[in-house]
Amino acid sequence: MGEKGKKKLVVIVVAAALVLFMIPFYLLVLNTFKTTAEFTKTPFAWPRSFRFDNYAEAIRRMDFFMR
Amino acid sequence: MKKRVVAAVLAGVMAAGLAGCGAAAGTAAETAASHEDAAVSEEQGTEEAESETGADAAQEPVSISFYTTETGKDDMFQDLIRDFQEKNPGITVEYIAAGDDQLQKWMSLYASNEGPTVSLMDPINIYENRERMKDLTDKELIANIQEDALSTFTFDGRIYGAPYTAAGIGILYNQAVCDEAVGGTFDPASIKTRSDLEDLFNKIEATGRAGTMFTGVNWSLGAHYVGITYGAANGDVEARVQKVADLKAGQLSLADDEVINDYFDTFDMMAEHNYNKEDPLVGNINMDAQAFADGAAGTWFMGDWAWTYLGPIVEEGAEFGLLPVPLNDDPDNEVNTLLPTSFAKGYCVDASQNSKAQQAAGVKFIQYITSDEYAEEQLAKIAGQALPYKNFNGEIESPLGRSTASYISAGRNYDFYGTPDLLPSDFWYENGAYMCEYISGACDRQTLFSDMEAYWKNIQ
Amino acid sequence: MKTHARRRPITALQFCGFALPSLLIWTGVVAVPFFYGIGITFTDWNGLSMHIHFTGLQNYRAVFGDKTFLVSFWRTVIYVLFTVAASNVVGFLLALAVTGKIKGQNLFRAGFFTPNIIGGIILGYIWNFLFSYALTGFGKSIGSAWLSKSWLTDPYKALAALIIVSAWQLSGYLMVIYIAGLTNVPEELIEAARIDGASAGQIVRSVKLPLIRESVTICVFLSIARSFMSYDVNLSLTAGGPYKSTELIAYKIYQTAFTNMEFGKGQAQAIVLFVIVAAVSLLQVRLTRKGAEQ
Repeated sequence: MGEKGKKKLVVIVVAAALVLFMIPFYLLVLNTFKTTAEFTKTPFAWPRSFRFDNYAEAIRRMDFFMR
Repeated sequence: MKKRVVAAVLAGVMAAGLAGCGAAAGTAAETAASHEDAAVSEEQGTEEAESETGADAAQEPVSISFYTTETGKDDMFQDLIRDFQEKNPGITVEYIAAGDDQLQKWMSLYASNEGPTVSLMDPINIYENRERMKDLTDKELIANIQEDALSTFTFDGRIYGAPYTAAGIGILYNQAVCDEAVGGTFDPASIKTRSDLEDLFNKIEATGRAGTMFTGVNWSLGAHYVGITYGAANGDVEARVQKVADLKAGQLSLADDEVINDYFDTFDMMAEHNYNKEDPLVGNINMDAQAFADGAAGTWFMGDWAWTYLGPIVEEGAEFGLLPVPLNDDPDNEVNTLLPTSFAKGYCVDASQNSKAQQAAGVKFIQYITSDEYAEEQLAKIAGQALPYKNFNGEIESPLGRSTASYISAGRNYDFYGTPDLLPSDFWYENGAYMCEYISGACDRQTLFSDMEAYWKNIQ
Repeated sequence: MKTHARRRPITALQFCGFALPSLLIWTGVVAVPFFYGIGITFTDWNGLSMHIHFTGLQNYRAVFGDKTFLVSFWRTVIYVLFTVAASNVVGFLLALAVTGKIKGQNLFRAGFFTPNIIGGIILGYIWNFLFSYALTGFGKSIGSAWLSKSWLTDPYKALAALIIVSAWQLSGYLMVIYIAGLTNVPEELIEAARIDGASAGQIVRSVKLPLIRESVTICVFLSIARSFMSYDVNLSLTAGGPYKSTELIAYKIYQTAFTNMEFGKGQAQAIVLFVIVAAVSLLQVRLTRKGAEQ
């Protein structure tokens, strides 16, 4: 395999590694948009609808804006 | 040359410290600068010259702190604080929420000389630190507390705490699922023995659901299930205290103890029908609450506080209740049908790091939270448990709390602890681990019992 | 003729002056609690009590006589060995890959470093969910018995899970250090080796590895120290479970001090741990330095 081919192979392998590395984050971010019930039932699925309730609740609880 | 030496010394000292600073200083740092001496205020004990109505206290602004160990109720407590402050201008209450580790947070507050004025703690914690706490025996607020709720907080004849709520511990049942299983209306009073319970489980399973569910966590199995085995089945409070004393002295072999063997026969039976049977330790109260609410399991070994998790996810009007855990097959054994109730938490006032004015304000706060109408209303609604206060007439929204209250008013309950110091504060942690081993099949009953006996023998 | 810029030599006093703020902070936050802690180890304080009594070396005797402490310590040693090995190997390989002038290099570097930015507690909770529910759900759907049970309910698998998560978190950090080391390897040497007909593997083994000795020393030192003190991932991933079988030493010390309320004994355990880790770390640096000088 030539230089360019080798480099392409490395990119593919590294990209695959990155995807594996990032699965926990994918899960994390995706599930922040789901209700508790939805994410316990279908953790890997795309959210049925993107709800920001969890963020609102978190900001309120953390007193983030120190109202 | 000189500065090289200085640099080397500084760097060397820092490097050596850094290597171990994580563990060593980490624990030490918890008990930061000002640590307390025996400069205890002699202000504890009897307090003659103190104005109950707090006329003086209300004049000068005083600021106190309130530490709770009830999780999930921060909004409610902050709301009550807001209401209390409105009704008592001049008193400001700082709210300190429980984190993950209740005891550690409390310890670090005391270590930094910020002991909370009012703390909502387990009776054993109040008992172990009673030398710090204010004696509440002669205070007005005590008159409003139901008598049988006070024994858990009475040490050597003096009262050091006021109970929070009465919690029922037992087998939660889903009325709809049980009705379907028995083909009619399920009556909890029909469960008088272990066989009756097993029968119910089989019927539930015939409808395609799991008979029951255990949440395989150390506090549920270690504190609650094992705690029941130290309960009324052993006799009255003296008999229970004697049993613990015998265990500490190494004079009782659990293998020969009928009560605990009976309860574990029931446990084994229930474990057979456990919804989480495939992987008993995967347990998580949120996931299990979801499963119970969905009817995937007909019953659940838990307590009425589970309403905090169930309330938001069950259908409107769904009915639930509590059943006691039967210990044996004797239909005439009353204990089979008595529900253990515990005053698992209580309010205490710190006298070791709070001024007299703060203590008085703290007492007012407890008086408010145990007798004010609005406070009681909120507690009943959000905690959803029975309140042991004489002037409480409100509605308990939680069907589980109502169930507990009905056992109490019918006199069909017994005090889970009996005395505040029956079980040490790390009982749940150590025995919970043994129970997890047992439920997952990693050890047998013999090993479990010998581990428990070793635990008692190691207690000073 | 050479002209030197006129520079007033910095005195030792000025030197101390610059170091003073950091030294003060360090003294207050590290040194004072450290010595205070040592003092506590000679007492019977339980962490809350208003009474403290001097008890001499009793706590230290209790530490060495406590089987559970020794078990936890050896368990931590095993955990450290695997985590250090895994994170260094993965970190090094990743660094190799992203210094090979491939496309999207910077994106990859950032991506692999991300686990290190998120705190251990959150990582532990995400992975806890993954192991307990996500993986088991996946295992059940493909009918694999081995994956259907949560890794976290078996003592050995739970320790493996801890190692995996820690290595995953740490490798990005080590990768960055290895990148710095690798980019410092002179291009000419690599070119020369390539002209001489060396394969990529040989280049790594004979040229790159020897020249990044410094980075290896640093990385191994950091990963040993960090893994020995590992607490946050332990807490959120397994909480010492199942049934206390994955209590690493820092977690065990915490439980002894705060849950069992044996503060003096817990503090003594911490001091013992400090001595051991300091010795191991200094020894390791010494050995690798010696090796590098050859």
